[in-house]
Formats: sequence, structure tokens, C-alpha cells
Amino acid sequence: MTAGNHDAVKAGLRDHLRRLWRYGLVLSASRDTADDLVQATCVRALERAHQFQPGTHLDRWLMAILHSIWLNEVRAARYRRGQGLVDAESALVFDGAGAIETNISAAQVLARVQALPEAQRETVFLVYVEGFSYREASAVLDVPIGTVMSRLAAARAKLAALGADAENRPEES
Amino acid sequence: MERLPPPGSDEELTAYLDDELEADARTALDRRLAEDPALQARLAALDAGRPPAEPFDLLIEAAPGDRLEAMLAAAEAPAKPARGVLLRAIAAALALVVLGGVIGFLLARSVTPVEIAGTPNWREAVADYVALYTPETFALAPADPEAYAPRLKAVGDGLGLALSPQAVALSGLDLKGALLFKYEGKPLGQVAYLSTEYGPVAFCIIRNGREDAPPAFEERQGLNVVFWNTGGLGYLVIGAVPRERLENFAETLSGRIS
Repeated sequence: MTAGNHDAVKAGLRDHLRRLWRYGLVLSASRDTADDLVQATCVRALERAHQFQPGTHLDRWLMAILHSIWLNEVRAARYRRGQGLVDAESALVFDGAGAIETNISAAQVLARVQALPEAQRETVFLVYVEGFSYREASAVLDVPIGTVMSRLAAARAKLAALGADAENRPEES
Repeated sequence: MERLPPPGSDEELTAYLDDELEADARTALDRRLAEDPALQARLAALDAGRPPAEPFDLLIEAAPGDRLEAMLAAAEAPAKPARGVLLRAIAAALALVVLGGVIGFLLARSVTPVEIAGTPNWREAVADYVALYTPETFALAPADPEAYAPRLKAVGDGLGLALSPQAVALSGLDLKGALLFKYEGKPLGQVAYLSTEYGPVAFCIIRNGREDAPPAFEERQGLNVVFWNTGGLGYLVIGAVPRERLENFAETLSGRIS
């Protein structure tokens, strides 16, 4: 059974590598850190393959591992060395991603989401991009469902206000 | 729902929009919405605040697929044998350091690269074994810094750098050894020190070919680490040393060696 689990986790990792990387990028706002997070997640998931419960969503399990590595190891270290998320606003609109640069409205969405406080950003990402239920997001993030709800409400309020401003601006000028 | 959001709150409206309200609460809110235009307006505003998912597809496309596949392949190495290799490397490193104390610079021209594997990150690999050092590890190492000159030269040759006791000297730290390892086929040099105040400290260099990066701070295995990259070489200093002091060490070393 352990061997079966290991193979299932390995195959699942291969299917979800890019999604895990995207989650790492949204969390860290850094391509290098996203690389490191995926790498650490691969190692950790294979080490713990025996803990994976067959029949449950592997992608949720992998995301929870990546999130915990981010929160407990990588992010903590970044904050300690004062790096924080200073590059957050620009990070998702990076060089070399031509598709993003040429797609202004997509870039705007990414930039606005990226500018949200981290807790709101990761919750918005899991629920509205990954399509997780509140319960699934609360499990990945290890917070109560009520917290998921209030983060989403605050994020929606902020993004709605930004959108309204942008729409009104041309009329005002 | 574990906790019901306050009626009329943004939380309740958001849960409504996300279809996460239970049937009773949903019906009650529908009733209130029907007779409250302000609540309807707020609902519409929050509805507009949901970001579309499509732009995030671009980030999937931007993912470095080949590199991620390679990472997964590397991570698939069975954990236990890899650990064994690491432990053997540690044992070899410790043996060399202790032996170094006995026969001093005689060993210098036969510095043996030791393969380290099984960890995803060279800094983690270094932290793994530096965490095992104790002051006793270096009990037999020579006190005279000049005793390490040939060994440092050999390590430097392996990395393509000029290393000498003067170049690696750090105030308040006694030089205790220099070793050449291999990490994933790349040469990795380590200079060991002992501080009466902080215990063992190590300065490590790897030819990793990465881009230049300014010094950054992190913690691994309960030790503080300052690391940077210059000219295709990765550097780090590690030890149970206060961050500011460690950053001073890094500044001193990066000023002298590159």
C-alpha cells in the first residue's frame, strides 16, 4: 500500500507541478522562491506519501504541504531577514512572460490580486482561481471557515473599489 | 458553516455569492434583499469584486515545466539511501577535520571531494552537517592559521578561487579547517572556524552558476545563515551567531573573495 501511495503521489506531483509552482509564485511573489517551494514540496510529499489518504484530493494535499513549507520555513525566514514582500506589486508581471505583458487587463487583474494583503491574496487564489470550497481552503490554509469568509469579503470589497475607481477615472478627466 | 456571518455583512453577502450559505440563511437573505435596495447594491458591488480566474492561466504557462520535471525526478531518489550517503559524507567530513588536527597540512594536497546528496538545496545540505559540529569536533585542529594555507589553496583550486588564511580570516574566530566537497557534481568548499563565544562557524562556497544575488538572511537547522551569489559562485556563512555579526562576516568575506 505504501508503494502504491508513493506511485500515486509521484504521478500526482507530475500532473500538478505547474499548479504548485503558480501557487508558490502567488504566495512568494518570486520565481526563484516558487521553484524552491515546488522542490521542497516534491521531497516532502514523497517522504510523506504514506500519509496521503487514497480517494481524497491529492492536489489539496499537495497545496497544503506547499503552504505549510511557505508559512513555516520560507516566509518566516524572509520576514526575519526583513525582505518581506516588498516586490509583491511587480512580481506577477515579470519580464519574459510576453503573454502577460501584452495582455493589459490580465496583467491588471494579477497586479490587483497581488497587491492584496497576503492572507487575502492566498485565500482569493484558492477559492476563485483554484475553485476550492471554503472548507477545502480552510483545510489548506489551516484557518477556520469564518476566516476564509472574512478574507474573501475584504478582498472583494477592495477589488470592487479598485474596479469602480478605474471605471470612473476616464469620465472624471 | 461553522459560524454564521452577521446578517447584512460583507461576509454574508460574499458567502451568498459563492454559494456557501446554508439553505436557511440563503432564503432569509433572499427575503431581505428583496426589500432592501442598499443591500442589493452592496451585493452587486461585491459581485464585481470577484477576480476572474483566466489571467492566472498565464502563470501556469509561465511555469518552468522542464525545470520542475527535473526537480521531481531529483526528489524521487529514495530517501533512505540518500540519507545514508549524507551521513557517510558527514562522517567523512568529521573524520577529515579531526584527522586534519593530527597530521595538519600533510593532508592538504590530498583533499578528497566528498559527494553530498539527498537534499534539495545546497544550503540545506551544508546546514545539515554544520548542525552536527561541536567545539570538540575541532579539538585537535592546529591553532596556527598558516597551517591551513596549503589546504585552503587546494580547496580554492577546486573552486577556481584564490583562498588563503588571510583572505578567509574573520575577527574573533579561529580557523579550524578547510574541506572540498561535491554537491550534485559541483565543487563545494567549506572553511571551518571556532568561536569561543558562538561555537562552530562555517564559510562555504559552491560553483553553482547562479545569477548574482545580494546577501540575504535565513535560518536553517536552528542556525543563522547569510548567503549571496557572485560570479557564478554561491557563498554562505552559517553558525549560531547573531544576525548582525554574521552579516559583518559576510561583508568582510565578500569584500575579499570573488
